[in-house]
Order: sequence, then C-alpha cells, then structure tokens
Amino acid sequence: MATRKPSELEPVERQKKLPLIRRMLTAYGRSLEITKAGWLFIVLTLAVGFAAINSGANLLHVLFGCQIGLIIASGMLSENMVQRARVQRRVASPLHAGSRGALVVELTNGRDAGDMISISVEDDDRIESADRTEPVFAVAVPGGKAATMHTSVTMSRRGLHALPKAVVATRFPFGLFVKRREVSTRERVLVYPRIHDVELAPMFDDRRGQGEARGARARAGEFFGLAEYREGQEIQRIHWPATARLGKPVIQEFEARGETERVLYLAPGVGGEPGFEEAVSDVASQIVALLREGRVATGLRYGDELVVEPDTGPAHERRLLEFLALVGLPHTHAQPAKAASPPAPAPSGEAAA
Amino acid sequence: MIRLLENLSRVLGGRGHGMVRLRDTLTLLQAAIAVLCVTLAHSASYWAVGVAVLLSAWAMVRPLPEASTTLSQRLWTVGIVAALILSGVRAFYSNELLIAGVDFFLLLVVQRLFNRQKTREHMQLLMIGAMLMVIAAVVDAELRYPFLLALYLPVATLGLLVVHLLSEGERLGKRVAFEVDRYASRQLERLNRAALQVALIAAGFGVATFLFFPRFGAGVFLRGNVLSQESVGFSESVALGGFGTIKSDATVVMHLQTLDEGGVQAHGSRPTWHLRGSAFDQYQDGRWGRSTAAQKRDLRPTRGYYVTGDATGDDAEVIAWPYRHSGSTGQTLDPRPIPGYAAHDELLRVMVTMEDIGTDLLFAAGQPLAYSVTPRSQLDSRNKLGADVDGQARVLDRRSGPIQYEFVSRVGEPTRAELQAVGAPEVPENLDAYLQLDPRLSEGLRELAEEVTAGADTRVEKVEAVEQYLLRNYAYTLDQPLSERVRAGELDPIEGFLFDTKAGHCEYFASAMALMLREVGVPTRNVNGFYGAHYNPIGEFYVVRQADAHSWVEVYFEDLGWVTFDPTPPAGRTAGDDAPLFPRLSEVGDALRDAYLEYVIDYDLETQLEVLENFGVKREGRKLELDWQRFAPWLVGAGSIVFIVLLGRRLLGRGRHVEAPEVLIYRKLLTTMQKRERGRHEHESARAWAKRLRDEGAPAAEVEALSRFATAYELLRFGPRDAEGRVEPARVVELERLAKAVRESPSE
Amino acid sequence: MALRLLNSDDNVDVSIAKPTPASPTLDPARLDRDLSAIRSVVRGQIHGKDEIIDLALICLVARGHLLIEDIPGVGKSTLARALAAAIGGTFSRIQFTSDLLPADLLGVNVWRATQEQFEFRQGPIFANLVLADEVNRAPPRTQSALLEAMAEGQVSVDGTSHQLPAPFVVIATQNPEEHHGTYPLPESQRDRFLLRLSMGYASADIEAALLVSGGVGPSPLTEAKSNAEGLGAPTALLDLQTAAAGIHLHRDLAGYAQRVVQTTRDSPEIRLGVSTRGALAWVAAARSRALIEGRPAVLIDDLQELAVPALAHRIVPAQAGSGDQVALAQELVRELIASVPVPV
Repeated sequence: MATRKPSELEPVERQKKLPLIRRMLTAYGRSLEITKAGWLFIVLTLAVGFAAINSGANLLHVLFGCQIGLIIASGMLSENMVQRARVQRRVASPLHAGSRGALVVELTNGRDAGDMISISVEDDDRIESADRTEPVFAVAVPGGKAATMHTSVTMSRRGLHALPKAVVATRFPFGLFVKRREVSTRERVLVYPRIHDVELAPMFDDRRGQGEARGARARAGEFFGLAEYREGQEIQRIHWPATARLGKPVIQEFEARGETERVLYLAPGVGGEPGFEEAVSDVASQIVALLREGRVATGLRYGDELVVEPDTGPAHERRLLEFLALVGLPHTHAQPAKAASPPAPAPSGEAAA
Repeated sequence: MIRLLENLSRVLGGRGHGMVRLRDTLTLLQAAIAVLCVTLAHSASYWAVGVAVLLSAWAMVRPLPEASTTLSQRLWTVGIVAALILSGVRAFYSNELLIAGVDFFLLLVVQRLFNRQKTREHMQLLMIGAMLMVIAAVVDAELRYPFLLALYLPVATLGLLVVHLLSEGERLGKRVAFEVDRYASRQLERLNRAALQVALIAAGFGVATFLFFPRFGAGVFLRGNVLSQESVGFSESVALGGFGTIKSDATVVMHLQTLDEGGVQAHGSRPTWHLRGSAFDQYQDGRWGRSTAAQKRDLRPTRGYYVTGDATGDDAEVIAWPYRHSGSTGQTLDPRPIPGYAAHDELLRVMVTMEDIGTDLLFAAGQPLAYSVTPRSQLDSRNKLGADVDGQARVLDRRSGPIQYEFVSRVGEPTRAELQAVGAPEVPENLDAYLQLDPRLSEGLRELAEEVTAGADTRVEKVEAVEQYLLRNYAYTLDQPLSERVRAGELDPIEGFLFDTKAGHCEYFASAMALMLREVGVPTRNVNGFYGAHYNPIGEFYVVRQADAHSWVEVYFEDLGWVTFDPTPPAGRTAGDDAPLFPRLSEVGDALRDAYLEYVIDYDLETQLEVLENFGVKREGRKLELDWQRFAPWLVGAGSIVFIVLLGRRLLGRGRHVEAPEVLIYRKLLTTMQKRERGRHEHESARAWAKRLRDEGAPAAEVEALSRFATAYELLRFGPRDAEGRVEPARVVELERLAKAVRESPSE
Repeated sequence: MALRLLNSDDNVDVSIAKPTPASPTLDPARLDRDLSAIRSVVRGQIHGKDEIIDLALICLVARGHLLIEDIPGVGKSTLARALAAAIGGTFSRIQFTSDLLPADLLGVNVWRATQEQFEFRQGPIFANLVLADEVNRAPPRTQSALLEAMAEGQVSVDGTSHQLPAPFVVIATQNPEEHHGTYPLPESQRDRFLLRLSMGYASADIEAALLVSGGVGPSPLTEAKSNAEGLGAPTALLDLQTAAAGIHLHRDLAGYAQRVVQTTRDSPEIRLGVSTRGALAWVAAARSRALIEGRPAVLIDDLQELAVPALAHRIVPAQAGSGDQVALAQELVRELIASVPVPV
C-alpha cells in the first residue's frame, strides 16, 4: 500500500519513544522540556557563574543572579500560565473521516487576576496519532476572560471518538523552556464516514422512463400550503373552500420533489474491514450527493431492515450520516442488533422503495 | 513608555511592520546598549564601532529581502571566517585579545542585522548582546555600568518576549504567525507589563546573588578603570612646560580618606598638603632628571607597613597594624625623635585610592614615613614596594589598574627658629648632586642669586630671600611665554623666565628657586606632585584632581631633613577649589562613584559577612548562628510588608465585593450545619436546603428553625433595598436571632 | 453577553415586553385578590393540575405566551378556556389545520362598496386570549404569521399595522412531534414562547372522578358563571403584569441566571444554548412567580423552579437521535440547575 490508511480497529494513538533527557524531565508528572535556546542560555549562565565564582568579580555575580532569576522566573511564570489555562474544544462543523472540520477552541484564563500570555493548545507530541488538530495560540488572555480561537481538526476514522489528546503548552516568557499540561477533558465527537465525489447522472439514468408525468410530479410532494392564484396556474389546484372564505382565488401548493424516493442499501458487515468501510463511505457519499444535489428523499436499508425512512432535509441527512457513522462498530448503542447477518463484506447497492 | 517604544520602532525598526518592526527595534536597541557598554569600557576599537554603527544603519534602512540569497549567505560566511582569522592574528600580535574579540562580536552583530528575517538571528543577537554585557561587566568598574545594565535588562527582556512570540508563530505555522502579528501588537501593554515583571524578578535575583552569594574566590581589588591614562610630570625625566596643559584637567586622580583622628575638622576642607611623587636632582638643558649620586633611603617591611629608614634605623616604629589588616584608625607609628625638631611627631595618616595615571610612584604628603599597599586580592603577593632615590616610593611590578595604599607621613614643619638654628653649614660631599648646575647657565643667574641673598647669613635666610624675591617680582601664568633669547637657544628657559618674561607657572618658579639656591651653595631638589585636596562633603573624602599637579622645592636642613618650600604665588598653586563645570554635581557624581566602587565593585566576603551580621546572621567557627535580637526586627519588617501588601490587596478586592451582614450570618450558620453533617449543597437555595433536610428527617426543631431562617434570609438577601442598598438593621437583628435559634436547636 | 446588563443595575426592569414603571396605584391587596380569583376560577374547571395552572398563570402575568405540548385529550383546551374565562376579556380559539392561511388568522381587507374603500376585517387573533390549537398542524407560513403577531403585538396586512388588544396572550398547543402530517415548530420559533408545559394525564382518582361526572366541559353555562367570579376586566391582568415587572431582582441572582444560561452554551451536551431572549424570559417568569407567591423579590427558588418550563424548550441537545428530545432537554436543564452553585 502506498499510503497507509489507518485501519478502523487498530488503535490510532501510540506513545512515542522520547529522548532520554526529555523522559527524565517529564518523569513523575512533571512537564518540562528545555529548548535549544534554553540549553544555550543555561550554558551561558553556567559559564558566567563559573567566571563569577573564580574571579570573585561582583558584577559577574550580579549578571549571574540575573540569569538565574530569568531561568527561575521562566519556570514560575510558565507554570503559572499553564495552570490557569482552561480549555474547551468543540467541533463547529460536520466532521467526516479524513477531511478537515472546523474546531473552536475556547481558552479561558482561570484566575481573575493576571494575564495569561503566550499559550498554545496543540496535540500532545508524545503521542503518535493519525488524528490531528491544528495548533492554536493566544498571545494574551486577561484575567477571568476567555479567548475563542478557530482551527481545524482531522479525524481519521468514522465513529464516536475522542478528539486528539491535547496539551496546553507555553514557552513563556522566552522560549527557553516548554511547560505542558494535559487537557483533561477529551470531548467525544461523532465522525461521519469518509465522503468522496459521486457522479449523480448514472444513478438517475437507470430510473429514466419509470418516472411519472411532469404535471403529476409537481403534485407528488407533500402538501405545503395555500397561495394566492396567479395567472396561468393549474385550475385543478384551486382550493375552493379557501377561495370561498377569502373571496379571491387560492391554490394549493405542494413540496417540490425532483425525484422519487430512493432507499439505498448497505450490506451488513463489521466495522474495520476494508470492504465494509468502503461500502459505508460509498453509501454516505451517495446520500450526501442525493440529498444536496438531487433533493431526493433518501432512505437506508441495512441488511433487510429499513433503518431510516426516506425523507429530505438537513436533519434527515444528519440522521442518515449518524447511523452510518456508527454502523458496524462495537460498543455503540446506536448500532442495531444484527447478529445474524453475515459479516462478509458486500458491495453496497441500492434498492427501490 | 509604550508610546515611546512605538515611535522608536517607527524610526529604528527598519521597513518591517507591527511586531516584526518592534522585534527589530528591540534587538537593535539591546545590541546598541551592549555595544555602548563595551565601547565606554574601552574594550572595542573606535574605528570598529564606527564602522559597525554605519553598517547597522544601512542594514536597518535598506529594504529587507524576503530571504537572504545563497550568494549573500556564502559571502557572509567567507567574511566571517576571514574576520575570525584576522582577529586571531591580531590578538596574537597586538596582544589585544579582548579588543579583537569584541570587534569580532561587532561584526557578528552587523551580520545578524543584515540577515534578520528569522527569529533565530534575533535570538543570536540577544545572546551576543548578553555576551558583550558580560565582557563589559568584567572590564568596566565605572558607575555607568549599572545604569546601562538597568537600561539593558528591560529592553532585553521585552526583546526576548517579542522574539519568543514571533518564534511561536514560526513554529506553529502561518496561521498562528498571522494571529501573533495581529494580536500581539494590540496586547503590547500586557506584554510590556509581563516583561517588566520578569526583568524585576531577574534584577531581584541579581541583587540577592550579589549580596548573599558567598565569595569563595579571592576578591579582586578593582577600583575604576583597568586601562591607564598617562599623566605628565612623573616619568624619569621631565621637561619644563608639561604642567601647563594639565592645569585645567578636572579628572579625579586620587581619593584620600584620612585615617587619623580629626578628619575634616582637623584638616579643613582645603588642606595644603604637598603630595610629593617624583623628585629630581639634575638639571640639564631645560629638563629635570636624576643622577646616580642622589640620596637613597631604605624602605623596610614591618608589621604590614613599609617604613622608611637608613642604616641607622627606621624613621618610625610601628605600633599598630595598618588599616587593611585591622581597620584601625588613629596613630599607628611612633616617629623617631629628631633633636631640634619640635613638630617631628605631627603625623598624617591617609588612605589613598589612586587611578592608574601611568606611574608606579606612590604619593604622600610631607615627609613620608611608611606605606602600606592593599593587594589586588588576598592571594596576590604582588604590589611590593621599593624605595627609590630622593624619598620616592615605587610599586614593584605595578599592574595596570587603580591602586589603593595607606601612607603615614610627617607634616609638621620645623619652626623658623629651628631652621635658623641650623645656621649655614658646610655641604658635605655626598650632597654634591644637589648642588649640580648646568654649565650652560649664564653668569647672570649667579649674580642675581648672590644679589638676592646678599645679607643672608644662614641657610634659611637665603631660602627665604629667594622665595620672597620670586613671590614678589614674578607673575603666575599658565601660558608659556618663551622669550626671543630662549627660542633662539641663547638662554636656558629658567633664565628666560627670570630675566625676560618674568612670568610662568609652578615649574618655572620651583626650578628657578632651586637653581638660584644652588648658585649660592644651598642643596635643593625639585619635587613634582599634587598640591592640596578638595573635601567632598557628600562622600566624606578628599579628592585630588589632575589639575592639582604642582611643582615645588625641597631644601636640605641637615638633621631636620628636607624641608618643603613653595615659591609659586598661592593663586597659582591650585587650579581653583572646584571642578570647572557644575561643581556641586561633580561632587555628587564623584561621591556616588566612590560609593559604587567601595560598596559594589569592592564588595567582598568580609563585607558580605558584615551585611549578614547586620541581619543577625553570625559566623561562629564553621557554623552560622542567628542572633535573634538582630534578626527579629528584619523578620518582623519583612513580615509586615507582606502583611500590608496582602491587606492592601484584600482591601482593594473588598471594594468590589462587600460581604453583607446577612451573608456573614448565613455563612456562620452554614459552617455550623456543616459540622452537624447536614450542610447545604452548592446548588441549593436556603429554602430548598431546609426542605431537603425536612424530607431527610432531620430533627424537627432544627428544621423548623431553619425554615423560618431560610425564608427570612432569602427575603432579606435578595429583597428590595433602599436607595443606598441598605437593609433595616432591625431585620438583620431578627435574622441573627433566627440563626441563633437554629444553632441552639437540639442537633440530635 | 447581553445579559450582563442585568448586573449593571439592580433596579433595571427586565421583562419581555416594554417595562412599565410600577404605578403607585397598584394596591397589593387588590392584586392578591385578583390572583386568588383567577386561581379559583381555573381550579374550578380543572382538577388536580394546580401546578400547571400556576405555571400558566405565571406565564400570563409575565406577559408571555404559553406552549402546551401533549397528546390530545388531556385538557389543554380546557385549561385555555378556563384561563380566558378567569381573566375576562375576549377569547378566541383557532384550530390550526393544514389548509389554514395566514389571512384566516390575521384578517383580510374587504371592499366595502357602500363606503367605496377597503375595510379591515379582523381575524380571530384579535382577542385578549387566543388558543391556537394544534399549532403544528398548520403549514410553516401560517405558523410564522402567528409567531410574528405574538412577538410584535400587532398585525400587518397589506402594509397597514393593526394593534392587537392588550393584554394579548397566546396559548398554543402542540401534539408531540412524531405525529404524522405535522410541522413541528422550529427551534427559533419555540423561543418565542415564555414557558412550555406538558399537561400529563390526570391522576388516577381525579380521572376516575372525571369519568363519574362525565368530564368538565366548556359549557356556555359554566363559562358565564366563571366570568362572574373572575376578574371581570382584562385590565386587571395588565395591572398584574405591571406589578410583576416591578418585582425586585437582586444582582447576584441575575448573575446566577447568567451563569446558568452561559453553562447551557458551554455544555458539550447541548448543541444550541439559551439565547439572551430566553434568559430574559426566564427572569420575567421568575418575577411573575414571586408576585404570585406574594413576595416583593425574586428568590433562587423562583428561578430554579422555572428553569425547566422556561429553558428546556430553548435548548437543543447535542446527542443525535429522533427519540424524545423534549425529555432529554428537560433532564439536561435539571442537571445544570443541580450543578451551578447558587449565590450564598
């Protein structure tokens, strides 16, 4: 395989092997990392300290003290910044596996007094994961206030997953040390299946000729409401009781439906198997295409059960995608009991209602 | 402050914008301060600084390319390598390792300024700045350094902070870089505050380290600049006319601190000490020099002092250790009595801190009896003294830099009667050197001398006659009017002064007197040094300035020794009492500088222990002990400061959030009920709480009381109030009664 | 947040409609008498639903509109009728159907040949109390016409505005969403109702008693009788509304309300939190409850008790699913109330 596609069942997150010094510095829950500039600064400090002690020059002692002070202030302030940060993340757009979704990160300064400066929220780089969020960075958040930042998240697999493990990190004030704190809450998000482009024309082609006459189709939809009659409209659609009440002609209107209902078919399978995943992705893509472009009332049949009745609208699309997001995956309550169905991967197809 | 910074960055920040411009400004500014620091400490070549400034200006105004081209990078690399090699060669040959190194750093600064697109270069600029500050700290012991450091620290911290923010932008990608640039410039005030906070913490640590970090190493005595500034008049031979140029130089060359009893009360604010440095016996072709036949006395180390003496013994007996050993003041020497010299035991004891003026001579008032030089460090055995001819004392193997020493000398002069008693003795052969005369001197001089001293029988009468003659008939001037005959080489300059111009400065007066006296058989020598001192009431010390340089005559009076005479009119002896410009200000500056040198640069383990002792920490052998009587006030003081700060914060906080009396009553009740394990849940109102307790089967009496309280409380707490937001006191009293009822209800 | 305004001044009046300064003529004793009169009239007609009646009354007094959501036949219409009877004034009931036009609701301009001009013929909405029965049966266009009238207090037909009578209260009933052929009110429009209630079945003994008595129906006789016992004039309700708007709300309680509302916005379990209008409605309802309970100020209990009816229909749970979202939303609100600390 040229590109490694994460399999749906294997864990996406793995602990990375870290360099020895970083392991030592981060042992016992501490979280300190020294940057390159930090090492340089420490070496310079030690050199000045050495010179000071050896020469006894008082000004060198002052400088040495200043440098030690900077290092300690760095540590204290960065710890302070990290401790006061509260993070809340939420997904702001539908999230499909493998594509980016909008993520809103709200960074709150947890203490009433004092600014929180130079804070970033980024993925924990100690963990290797296929899921990724783009980092966000806040220059300053005043005491008790919150900053809302926008970024994006990419989840690799469909299903109900936690967002990638994030850390609040700061290199404040000078980028000498990195202080991190894990964000304890990992918001769970529902990831819809992967979506790809679908050519709609072939899907409609095989239906051609079976459809109803055009005039009838205009009335095929659900009753929508009444409207004032305008010249040239069908006389059959005049709603006589209303016309009588209001003293002017009123006609009935129906919801327009470009196509008839369509029920897509998904053969039962087990989440994680490449064939099944592909089928889920195909069905999801078709659903999105049909509902958005073709405005077809779309339903879904899973095995021999009609799991979602045909309908239109964004809410309906969500319902279908939610089902597809969880289908076949273990430990999900939304999963319909389908123990009897064969786990063999089957290509998805469609069946007329 | 921020306005200033923004305006500054508009001017200095090159062609960038927003944060980038600020970053450029700050790194440039801190580099500039660091360069200024090393330049002022004379640790960089002036030409290198000039070139660096010009190139930096160019780097800042030229349009900065998006990224430096490969060609320019290569060129820079080649240039840097070449400069490195050149610097190495220069250091090797010119022995100016420090200056060569600093010049190389200047080149690095310029290179970074030309290629300042990335934050890495700025970080390096900051590091170079720090290095230069360290170098300056080693070299510069002047008072300007702390001021420059105080300026450097906040600029560098803010610079570091800004560089850090921009580097975060670079690290986290374009999206974040955009936001950093956009929001950081709006948050400048907060950033500035944070930087200042950090700078203060750093400065605090610096001061604390300075004060309390034990000085394990041998301290270095470093009073002032290491680099010497040559001064005229004290070399092996001195041509006439040199002093004229330095008579207007107000540079301080010596700090004097009297160690004997009395101080300023005894010596006055303008003492008339003749601080002798070099002495000469040979006059030839208008120059004073030394002959091999000159008198030489010994200088023998005794109990921390070098005491003058001759084969017959020391001039004085040391009866106490010098200041550097014991911190003693008062009399430490017992001078050998001299018959016929009543004031022989009138001594002056002074601690001198002398700048490096390019001489290894030690200066002392009157007739020096003993010296004691403070070594550079405790392990440093150098700065040994050696005696030279004519009572000159020299530091052997003098290292560059200032020097501190103590002298004890006899300032009491013989009375006229005592001098008269000497009579007109024959001059012994061994003093021939002091009667030496340049054969080129004309007969006129002898005739004049004889004419002036006609009628003077004794030596002192001759001396007085010549002195009076010069004082009365010759004018003091700083110009050096040379007569035609002198210029033509027909006459000696002294004769030109005596016969033609009849005006000159101290050198002419002194030389003329010495030579005239020699013509009439009185042994004399010419002495150069400093005359007088100026008391600085702020620093409580005396200063001697370059302009106080002076020249006078010593005449030999047998057993009484050499006696000082000064033929220069008093108006010409000193260059005026004060520094020429802003005398008061220069006094303050001088006092500050002295304090800085003494308490900062010379701060050592001993002072440290003293400071600790003031705090109440005492060293008992190897252990440290706390003297609570002394320590407690400090502790109490620190404690109360913390308390006041906390209280202030609390009070400020209270201004926003006042706890009403009913809330206090409620809180008290909450605590009580918490103890009874029937506490309120966070989300419950008082009434809901009472209701829950009732449902849970709490004691009936308690629940009843609590319900009554809850209703009353909530209505009082959240109910309407009068215009000033107060409630009727009666209702609060009633509430307290209800609360009491709950508290006193049987809990079981 | 707009609600922060509440913090700025204790004395600011917060209510959905324009605040009217409490007039000095309001006599507490009379208000009390009026309230108990309304209560007794409604309780006379509906048994065993005192809580619901009180909530409905709160809604009325807070100048709000009421949404009753339940299956048919549990007495929604009866409640509306009883309330109308109690406050006096005009009452109209509109049965919403799929072919109901906005004009059917608001009225039309008709040509008067005799006067040679158009004359506005008022629709059924021109009444003090309007019962919009099964509002989710009407198509969205008609629903919006109703909701617009509710929000504006006036009706625009052919460019002319017609003021609705005061007080103007809409009690809308809605069948549960999943019934076929309905147009459930969208989230944004549910927000216009001050409170949402569910009637629920009558308790067993009351239901049995109902069966014995043959039900308490809206007979012309009882209506006339109750009118005599009720307020008599709808202006009395206006006075009550004015008094409710003047109830004191402590700034700490406003802060508490704001915190709760903020939490609905921040909670990961809630997709759509409570709007500022929702917060205002909640606080207005709490004021009204305080008035009805005869207190001069809003207490924590008022807010907490009203949180579910006032807030639950304004939030949308994040959890997907077509199940009973109403119950879930209510549960979420209860959880919030149980987790946000109250001011001491």
